[in-house]
Amino acid sequence: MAVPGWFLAARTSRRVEARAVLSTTGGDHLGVLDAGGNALASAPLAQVAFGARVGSAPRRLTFPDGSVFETDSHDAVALLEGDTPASRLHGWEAFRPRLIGVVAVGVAGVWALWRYGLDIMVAGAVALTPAPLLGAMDAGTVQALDRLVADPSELSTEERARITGIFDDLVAALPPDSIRAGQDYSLGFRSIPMVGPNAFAMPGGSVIMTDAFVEAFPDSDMIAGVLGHEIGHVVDQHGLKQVYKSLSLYILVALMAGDTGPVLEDILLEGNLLLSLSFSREKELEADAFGVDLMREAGYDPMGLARVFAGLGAMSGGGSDWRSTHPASRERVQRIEDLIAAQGRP
Amino acid sequence: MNAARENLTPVQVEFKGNAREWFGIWIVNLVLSILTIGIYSAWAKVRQKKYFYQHTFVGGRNFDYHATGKQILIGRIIVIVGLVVFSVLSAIPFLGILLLLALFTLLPWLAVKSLSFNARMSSWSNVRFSFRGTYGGAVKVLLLFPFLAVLTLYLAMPFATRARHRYVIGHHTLGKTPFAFDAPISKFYVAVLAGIGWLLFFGAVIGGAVFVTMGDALLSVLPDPEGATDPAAEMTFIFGIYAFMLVLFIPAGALYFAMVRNILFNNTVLGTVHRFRSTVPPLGYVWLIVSNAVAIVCTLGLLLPWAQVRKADFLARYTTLLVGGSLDGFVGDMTDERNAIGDAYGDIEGLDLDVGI
Repeated sequence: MAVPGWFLAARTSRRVEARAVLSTTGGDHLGVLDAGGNALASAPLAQVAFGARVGSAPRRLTFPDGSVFETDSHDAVALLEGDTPASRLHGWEAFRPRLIGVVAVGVAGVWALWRYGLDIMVAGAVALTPAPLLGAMDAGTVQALDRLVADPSELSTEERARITGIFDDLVAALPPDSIRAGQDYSLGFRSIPMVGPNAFAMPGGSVIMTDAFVEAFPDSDMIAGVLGHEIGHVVDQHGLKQVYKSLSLYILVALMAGDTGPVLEDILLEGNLLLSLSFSREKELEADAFGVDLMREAGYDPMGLARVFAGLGAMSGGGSDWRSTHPASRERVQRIEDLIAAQGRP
Repeated sequence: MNAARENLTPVQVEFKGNAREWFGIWIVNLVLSILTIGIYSAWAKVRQKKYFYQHTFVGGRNFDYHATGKQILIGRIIVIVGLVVFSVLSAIPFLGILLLLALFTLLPWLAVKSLSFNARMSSWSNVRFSFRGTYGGAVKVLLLFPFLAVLTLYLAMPFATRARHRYVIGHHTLGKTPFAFDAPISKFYVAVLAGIGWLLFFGAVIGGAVFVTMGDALLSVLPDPEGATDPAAEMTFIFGIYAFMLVLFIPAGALYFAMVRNILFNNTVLGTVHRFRSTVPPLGYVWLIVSNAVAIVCTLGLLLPWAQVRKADFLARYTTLLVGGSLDGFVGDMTDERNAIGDAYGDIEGLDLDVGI
């Protein structure tokens, strides 16, 4: 049989019309002839490299010397090539009813990755993160905070000692298996007028409380409530998980979706924002529950945390203020009361 | 050059792929990548490159991509290991600064490696491309000039942009035939001003409209300091960010891209006789990119292959090669294919210098 196509000599763009001919005398041998019947290239069939079939692009057969025969006669090349993994791959890619099955597997796979794969990657990464690295991350965050928004605390030494005592009580009450080797819980005080009464936890165990919080809620049970909540974030590694979740999503999108182009990559990554916001709600409620348990364990009144949220709600006043249209604080107070009721008052 | 210009024969660039075919390949790529926990993605990348290269024709001859999945996989493993080691070590205070300096000196080297790998793995009409930029040149155009431009409050950034394209295009060859690029700086300023103009104009229009209609309600969209916000406000916030991207940043970026692409093609010479012509209509390109983005988001990504084919087709339609003489005269360099294997580790993902050729 003679397959029509084009011949390109090794390493040149010169392209001439040609035909490939298979001769079977003395083993399979593939030759390329020009229009005048002159031989251009020839090699045993086994030494001819068949370029993968990709869509409807011309097939490219490369001879050992680097010259190339290319053709649009896909069926003839398929016959020459025989059944290989590469040719079966092309069969799966064809746009026919079977592809619906492939799409279904693809959709299910993406869903499973989103639902379970991400969490597995995150859990693995958290487990592999050494504690000293967490400490260094905390130090970096605190430095940045001090440079950008935070001023030294103006609280009295006695006041600080009292609150640090509460913090130590809570840490001492932590179940031993919840402390990672090398993790170091410490409490710091800062004046950050921008964020009002607030407290934050960092992955390595550093907790920062603002002066405004102590001024607004000096009550020990209330302070224990918010510190317990923050310790809950550290124990469950919420902050670190958040960082790894964004990172894992980025890697997954980059690997799975292929070259999407810069614009589309941005859009896909914006999805992170969606993820992280709906995520933080859930995490806050988890930390509330942890805090309530820890407070009881350390001998504080678990209602302290509920009173903090009630206080935050009341602080912003009633009526026209945006917080009053905002169920968050009220909802959380209710949840904490439910939790305490479910466990029975001490 | 004038004499050569008179004999130029326009040859249209054609993209012959279609969305059905590419969708099939793309979804199989995705499924195999998931089933192999990401390992197949290296082969998937090769298949994607091959699909778009092999379906792009100039004068009846197509491009091809020659890297193997194994080469890409090795490159990716090296990059991932490097990143993990870097991030763990950089947490150590003093070492962190040293590592950052090391990364800065390494960056231009990686860029040169990556460019030369990609060039050698690409061919047109059986002739491989190559890239022969020097490390010193890369330091200048990737680090020094951008840094100097920042010192001028970004006013001189177009000069740095032009220098980068001049370096990248000017060190590429098709076989033994070199590319060369130069263009008046004013064109780059026009492109930047068009992008910034879009941002300012539509930013002002939308900003004004939002404040007039929503006023105080806008404040309720800001996240609660304790983190737990109302879902409705969250959705508004996220939706707002997407809307902003779709109306402001994506179109401004597309406008700039289209204008720069035209500058690059229209001022590039191949081997002193062949020239290029790109007549991409900037607003048409903005529409293409924005409508593609909407289609992809609305179908949760399933129309991504359709959008990619549509874009490739659009760009090819506005691109012409002006042939001076014959397309048969390009000759490859014997050493290119051999060296390519040694540079397999040079394929660094994400180091895309966004050059249109």
